Amino acid sequence: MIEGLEFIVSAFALTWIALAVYVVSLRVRARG
Amino acid sequence: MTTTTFSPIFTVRLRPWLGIASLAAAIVATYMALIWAPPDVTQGDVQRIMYVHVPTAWLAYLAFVVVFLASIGWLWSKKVWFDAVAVASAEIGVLFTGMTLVLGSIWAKPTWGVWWTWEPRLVTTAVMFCMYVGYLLLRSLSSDFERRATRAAVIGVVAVVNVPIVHLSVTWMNSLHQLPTVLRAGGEPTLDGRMLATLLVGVFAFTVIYAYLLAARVEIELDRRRRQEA
Repeated sequence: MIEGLEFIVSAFALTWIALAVYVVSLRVRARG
Repeated sequence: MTTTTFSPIFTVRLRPWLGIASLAAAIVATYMALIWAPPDVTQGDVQRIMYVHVPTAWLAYLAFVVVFLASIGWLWSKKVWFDAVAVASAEIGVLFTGMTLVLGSIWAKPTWGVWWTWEPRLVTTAVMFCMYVGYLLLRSLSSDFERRATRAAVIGVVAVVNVPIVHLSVTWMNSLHQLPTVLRAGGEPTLDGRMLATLLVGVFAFTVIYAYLLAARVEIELDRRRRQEA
């Protein structure tokens, strides 16, 4: 069992989800 | 009189390639951070959060330095492209600063035992975040393009002072936050070779992602300006 796994997974998941959401928001805004 | 002339090479032709490079760099950086890099002797595996926390912090610095340079460019030349770069970089910088605060909080809980503490690095980073949110809000106060861009540029020039304050706050004051391990005065990085390589690949990946986001956001801003002029 990796100690602090929930913190590691949360950090990496939040990072890529935040960036993905921002990319989607840019695409939506680009369509006007 | 403002002008919307700009070079489309960065914003249009390079963007698809930047998107592909961003995705590839993100996959490699994540693999290295989660699997290839060794666990830390003291903190164990939870130290791997550093590989996203530190790059987001560095990219926030870079984004705000770009805001500063583009603001100088606007004040100097009144070219719309500079204002578009400034607002785009400020928005992305706010995103990266917000991520830095959240990731730092997630890292703080297992290592310090708290989600947040009032110590210099955290407080100065939060102040920097609020100042650039203010910069973005200020832009919505005026509908006159030139006045808005000039006001924002002045804030963009002044607010960059946050960057050295945040970075050096850990050396100026007693801090719970660890001291710089890579960008530190008078010495080599204090990281293990594989950890340093993983961190540098992470910084490279986030830099490519930043360039991609900047290109896309600048194009939106210029489109908006073209529609207003039409």
